[in-house]
Amino acid sequence: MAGWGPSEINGKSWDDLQVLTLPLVDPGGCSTEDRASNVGFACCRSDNEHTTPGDSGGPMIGGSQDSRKLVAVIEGGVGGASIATRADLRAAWIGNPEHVHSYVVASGPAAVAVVPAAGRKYVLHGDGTVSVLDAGWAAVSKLPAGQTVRAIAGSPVGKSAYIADREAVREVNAETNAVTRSVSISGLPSLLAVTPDGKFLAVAHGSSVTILATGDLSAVKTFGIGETVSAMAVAPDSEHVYVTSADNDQVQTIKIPATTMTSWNNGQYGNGFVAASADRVYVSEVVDTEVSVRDRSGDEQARLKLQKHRQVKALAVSGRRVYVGYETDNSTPAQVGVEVFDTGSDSPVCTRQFGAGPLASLTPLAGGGVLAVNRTVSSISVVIAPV
Amino acid sequence: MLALINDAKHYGGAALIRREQEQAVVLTAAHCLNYDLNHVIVSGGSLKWFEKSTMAKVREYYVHPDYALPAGIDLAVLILDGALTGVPVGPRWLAKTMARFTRRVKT
Repeated sequence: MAGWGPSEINGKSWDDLQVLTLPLVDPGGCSTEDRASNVGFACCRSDNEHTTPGDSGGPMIGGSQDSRKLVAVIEGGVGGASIATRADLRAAWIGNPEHVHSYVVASGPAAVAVVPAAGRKYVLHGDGTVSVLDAGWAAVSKLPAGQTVRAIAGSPVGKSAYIADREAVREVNAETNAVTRSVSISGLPSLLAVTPDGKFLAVAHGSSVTILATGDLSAVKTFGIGETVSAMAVAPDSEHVYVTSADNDQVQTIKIPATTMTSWNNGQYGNGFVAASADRVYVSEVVDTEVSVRDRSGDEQARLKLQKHRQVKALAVSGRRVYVGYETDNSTPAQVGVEVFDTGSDSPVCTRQFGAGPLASLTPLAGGGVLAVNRTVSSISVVIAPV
Repeated sequence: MLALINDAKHYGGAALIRREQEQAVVLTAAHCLNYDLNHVIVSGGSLKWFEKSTMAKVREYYVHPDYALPAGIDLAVLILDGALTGVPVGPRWLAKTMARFTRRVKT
């Protein structure tokens, strides 16, 4: 085992590479409460020598003198134990890794919008700038600086992206990145969502939602939600927009073409997250470890329960899968991932964890899967559940 | 043997496992993906981590599908934006490097 990790927690790293040679012991010798099963781990034990958290990620080399091999990746060390994750058992994955593939983007991403017809992705950053990525995830340009951008969305069918700043919603030609149309919106736009048919754009601004026709960005109708909008989701039929607020329990349904709005209630502490499949609405409260699955009239059909120590941070539906983005509360920093459920049977499909939080948002992909935006790590993870 | 450096501080290790064209492919622990990767440097080629004889940044990465803290498979493969020229690939070199150095007791 080799590493520069300091001998004391929060100590100074060694200048020179440190090497430690110890015999492997039964993994049971390193078992902890969290790791009852030790399949796939390597363990060394010594009273006065062990790896430390700063050695994490480094190699454990084993084998005979003339045939050395990389046995494991150091995970940490505590109380005389050196613990490592067996890499030799995962050689196939290491040689040809897949799931979950993540791409580094400029610092502080908050949201991503996809314009498939133009092969473009738009990444909104916390400082209000927008970077433009090509199909290979390379940053090709930035949207011209003007106002600080607060929300973005992409047309699922056309070649337009939409951005919102303090004053207006603007249509951007995704091939030239020129602003082609603008419409003034009062009350601080905060969220944008395009209907799957590309014909309408829902704009949350303050405690209102305005439906715009994408053809000329004309306002069709504005609805008062009563409290500040926290989340908004468009159903696959392009005819229903669901709107929640963290400050009340109502889930509003706007019928498109925008004429009517109805509502039903979920929970008792305000709702933070909403997503919609063909015939179900998924909604979670601001602080929640479960997702309520409701039909269009608001009758609860099921509840999706996250595993222990996980809290809902985002919801998205893609195809026949609902992706529940979560953050953990039993490690520092919090880890983020998704638990994926089938929209027909409400049963779990898979769970994927992909690094440190916080999770900024989930954006569904047209071909299945979601893009998860990792704010601190500054990356976007492509998560695709088995079909 | 590679060092992970954030904000001029060493915080973890990694190993060069192969090169694909001009990109180094590196194995590390998934839980080391906890800082802004625009600022993380993967360096190597020296036995002192801060000498950074050669270095690169992370462009893409894969986290093992069974990763979960605290008890999942803690592996990640990083694709860097450079080839880390001068750093030999593979465990044979690592073992040789280790053997060259006096073992120090870590407590």
